[in-house]
Amino acid sequence: MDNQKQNSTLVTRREFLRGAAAVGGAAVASVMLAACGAQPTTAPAGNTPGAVIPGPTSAPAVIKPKSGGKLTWALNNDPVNLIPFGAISTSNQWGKEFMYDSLVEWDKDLNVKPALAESWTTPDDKTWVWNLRKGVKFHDGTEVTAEDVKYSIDLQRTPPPPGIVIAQYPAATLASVDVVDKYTVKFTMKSADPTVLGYLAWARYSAIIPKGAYDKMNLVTTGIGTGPFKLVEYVANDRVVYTRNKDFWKPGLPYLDDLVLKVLPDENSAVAALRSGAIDGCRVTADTARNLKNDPNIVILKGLFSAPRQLQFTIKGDGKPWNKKQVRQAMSKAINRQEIIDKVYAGEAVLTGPIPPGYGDWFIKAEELAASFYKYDVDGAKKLMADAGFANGFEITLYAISQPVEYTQIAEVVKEQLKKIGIEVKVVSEEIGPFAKRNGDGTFDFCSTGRGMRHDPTGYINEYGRPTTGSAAIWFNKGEGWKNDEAIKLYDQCVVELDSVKRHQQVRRIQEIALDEFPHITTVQPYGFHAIRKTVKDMFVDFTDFHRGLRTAWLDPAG
Amino acid sequence: MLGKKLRTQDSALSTHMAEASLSQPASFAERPRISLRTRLARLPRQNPIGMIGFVVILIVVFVAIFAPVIAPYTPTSQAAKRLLEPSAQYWLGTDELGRDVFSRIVFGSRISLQVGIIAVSLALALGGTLGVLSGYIGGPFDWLVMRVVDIMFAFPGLVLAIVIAGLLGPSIQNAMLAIGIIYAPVFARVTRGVVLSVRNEVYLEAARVVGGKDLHIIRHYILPNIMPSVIVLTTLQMSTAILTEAALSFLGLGTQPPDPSWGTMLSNGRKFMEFAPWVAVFPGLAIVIAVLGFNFLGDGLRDALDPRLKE
Amino acid sequence: MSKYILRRLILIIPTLLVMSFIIFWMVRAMPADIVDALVGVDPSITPEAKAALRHSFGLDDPIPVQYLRWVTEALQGDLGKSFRTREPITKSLVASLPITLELAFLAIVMSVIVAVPLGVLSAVKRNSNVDFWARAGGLIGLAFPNFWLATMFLLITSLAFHWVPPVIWIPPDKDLVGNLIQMFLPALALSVQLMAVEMRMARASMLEVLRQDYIRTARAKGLREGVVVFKHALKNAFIPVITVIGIQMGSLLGGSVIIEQIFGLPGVGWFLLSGIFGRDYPVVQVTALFLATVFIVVNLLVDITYAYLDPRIKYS
Repeated sequence: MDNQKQNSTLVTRREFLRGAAAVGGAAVASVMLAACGAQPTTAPAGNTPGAVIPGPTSAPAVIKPKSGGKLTWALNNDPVNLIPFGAISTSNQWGKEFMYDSLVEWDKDLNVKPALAESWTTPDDKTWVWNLRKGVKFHDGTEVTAEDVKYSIDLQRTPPPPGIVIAQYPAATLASVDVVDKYTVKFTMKSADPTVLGYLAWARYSAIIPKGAYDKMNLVTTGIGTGPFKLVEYVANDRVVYTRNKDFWKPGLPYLDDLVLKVLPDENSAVAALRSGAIDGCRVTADTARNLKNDPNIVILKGLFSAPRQLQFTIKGDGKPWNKKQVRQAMSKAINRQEIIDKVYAGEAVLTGPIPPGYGDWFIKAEELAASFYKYDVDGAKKLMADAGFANGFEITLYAISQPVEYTQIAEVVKEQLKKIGIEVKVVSEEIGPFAKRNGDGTFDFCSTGRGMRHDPTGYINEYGRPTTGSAAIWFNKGEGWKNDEAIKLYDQCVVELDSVKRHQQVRRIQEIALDEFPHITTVQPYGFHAIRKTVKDMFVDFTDFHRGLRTAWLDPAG
Repeated sequence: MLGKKLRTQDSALSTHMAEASLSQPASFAERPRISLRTRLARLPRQNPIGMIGFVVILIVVFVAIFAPVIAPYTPTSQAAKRLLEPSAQYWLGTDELGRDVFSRIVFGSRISLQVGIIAVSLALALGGTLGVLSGYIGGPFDWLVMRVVDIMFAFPGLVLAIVIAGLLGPSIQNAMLAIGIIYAPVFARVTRGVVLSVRNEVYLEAARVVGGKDLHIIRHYILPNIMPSVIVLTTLQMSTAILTEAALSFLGLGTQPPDPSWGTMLSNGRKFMEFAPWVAVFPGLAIVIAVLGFNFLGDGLRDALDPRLKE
Repeated sequence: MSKYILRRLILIIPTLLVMSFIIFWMVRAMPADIVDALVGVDPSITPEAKAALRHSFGLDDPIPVQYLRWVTEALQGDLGKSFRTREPITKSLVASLPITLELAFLAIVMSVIVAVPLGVLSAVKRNSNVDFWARAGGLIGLAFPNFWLATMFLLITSLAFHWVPPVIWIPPDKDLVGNLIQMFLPALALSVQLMAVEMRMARASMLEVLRQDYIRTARAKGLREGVVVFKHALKNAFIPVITVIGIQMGSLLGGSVIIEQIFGLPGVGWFLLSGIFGRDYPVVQVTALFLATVFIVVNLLVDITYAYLDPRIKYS
């Protein structure tokens, strides 16, 4: 059957992944192209391979992965629900990611790889034809067909509650999803859209579920997909239990028999549990990672993940000091980002612009940021303040998310730093609900927040390119408080630009504008750390901030 | 009718409450006529535990008042390196943002005392007034007040604290308000219980016969009688308030950063226990000492003020 | 007596009605709702999309309408579904309540076992060294925030014995021994404060009882001290301890959330807290009312026990 072919492809792929740590990111992609021959050369890939900063991960396994065993992973945040479609927070994805797949997927380094679609073609800029992998089964044993894909992609446009319409869905460009035959689906676009692949590959909102699943079950606490693990039970505030999907479409995978996700919000408890073997791995902060380094039973994994931190203004044209560009520039100059790195993150963070380091090759490198955009210069800042007419400073309230404490700690550090140029900052830390509301309603002057993963580079810069829509319209008073015509023009181009080189230039220029005008002050990007028992193999810190490593992780009882 | 019956039951319940915090139900009628002042003055000799508590609280108050003089650094200054060990320069080391732990503990005493004093005063003012009036006036008023107190009692305190923090914004003032409201019913029940027990005593009847005004009776006959219970309860509740603030800090609902609160310092410092224990241990010690101080004092006062515990 | 109990039970109804109204209003008066909490900080989501989701929860109806709807449904026996999980709240309560109740029960048992004998001893040997250290010990126990105790327990057992209680809850009906082993540390952390309070109560009431006429009489009759203490006094010493339990029940049920989070036990405190933070109004309403009911019933039981133990107390 077809299995033979798939097998060989996959073996190549797996062998390849194993060696990936040693090979550069660029080489990865070219080998992959040759290996599976699925990726069309004209693919308007959202993320071309690039100079990914390879974070140290677990040593590449030299021995053959073993099957079996149960792995317990502690989550520091409760997956609030498991809904496949609609807006969710990252921790929800942690709960559901193992049961779902999409048409394509990202590999570790964000290269787009075939998943439920074995291959695809783009006969013209406005058509995508997806050839589904044959014989893939949902967890209930039914086969995945084009009907399921159509049902899923269509439903993602307006997800049933508690799902919420998301901006990442290509709603404006996707005209229709059509079933060509049992294993072929066609997307007809109104116009070219370079973000479609990223949307699908991220898999956060684009799972493929059986047709009619929403009518048959409560997808908030249960679920059915094609992923490597089947859901056994979901207990709110407690655990998500998975068992191996024997019919997973990647033969031989997953290695684990059982996967338990246990909610343990307190880092101290998680570390105690890890030490005692009650759990096999968890996220830790940099300080804890350093402390655990010497434990012979524990391995520390380090890697970048998408979480650029930023200080956000509302600029409403109401005469407040920070409506003036010089004031915002002065504040950026007076903020010593290295001190934030050293104190809040124990030295384990890097400078970031709007797009975080590690996101393909779309970001501005830390060295360049340090040299050109983020010079710490208190005297220069004072001069700018004086030029703007605020030599004596002003008062401003800085709201911060209370948990995790890092946002509040950044605010505390910034408060001390801005004191030097006469700005008196009042810090108010709030739980996430009120903070989110404040952020969405624009009822703040200044806040300490962060951005997560995005499906496309434009996701990190849309507030600069579209200051008149969504939340940005509220923050910038529909563009009356702040807008930049060049950024708007470039953004309009880059959301439809299929030429990767041109697109890079546009995205880069918008970032430069943001780093000159500072409608928001971008700061640093922390490293992520996992602490795992040494028996856990092939786990990695996932750039998407999920735990995709658990899909392929395995246990070596020998350690 | 109904009111009267219910009041009788309540009096039993209130007596439990009084006992719970005081262990002194029943009457003060037989109390020897020794003034409060005299009994307080006898405290040191008779009651070493109470005396230790008194001295500890005195020290905490002293530190709080003279914090700017005692603290070598500004409590919010991040001038030092992070997580420095205790040394001659930084006596209790520095925290993760490079702030002097000693200076933060010194200034933190202000917050802990404020929480203790203001929250409990609020509870006392609110609950005490309700309790005295309720016990004194009796009738439907008493019934109604006690039903309100029942509701407040049964209301999960955590919900109240979080809702208040949500409604008014998280801040130390609002945490105090929340703690004050949560503690108010205890004061209401205890004071009411004591008032009920003295209300009908002979000398009160006498006062009434002579035509004393209500306010006069309350001031001269009721208040002196409830003072011992209230003093002891207040002292003990102050210690609980400090612990409650720490618990709220653990949940992120206490003091706003960067103000130093012992609870927040302890909660956030826990993660450095293994390699920089000073960040958590010293604020923890400060909490233990202050709470212990109030408890020792309260315990001592109870022995001193409760005449029935005399041999 | 039975009339009294009946009246107290009837009184629960208006109490709960008033509470339900207060809670209903309060949770809605908090800033942000479930939509804000679900969405988090995501600038790409439009206000229209949020409004649509709000509508699906019925949150755009006037509050009195929402309240009437909820009360009507509750009176028909439908306590409602969680906004978050879309599952009946009773189901989650049935799952989470036993954990917290067991925790509270074990904490009470542990505290009584230690506190009552110590308090009695302290009273009998008043002003001795035993008394001083028992009292000081009790007070010191009272002085530690319980999250600190819990953290230290875990730190010590994990470093010294490479052991912590299992992180997934073991129901007692499945494995009683495993369950008790798992619950020991959390219950201990919760019981320390209780212990201190009960120790003081036991000591104080014992002191009082020892002074009383019938004990004096017994002593005068020449009964040996030990017999006197145990036969007559011990029963009375338990009375305030039971009262403390009644009062502490509230903080044991709602306040155990910190212990639950640290030990990863999905109890009712955590359920309530996550309901509050997630603005899951139905969950907060029902859980808070339910905890209040438990509190009221426990206190009623305490009063009945009190009357049983102390014949002087008569309920009309």
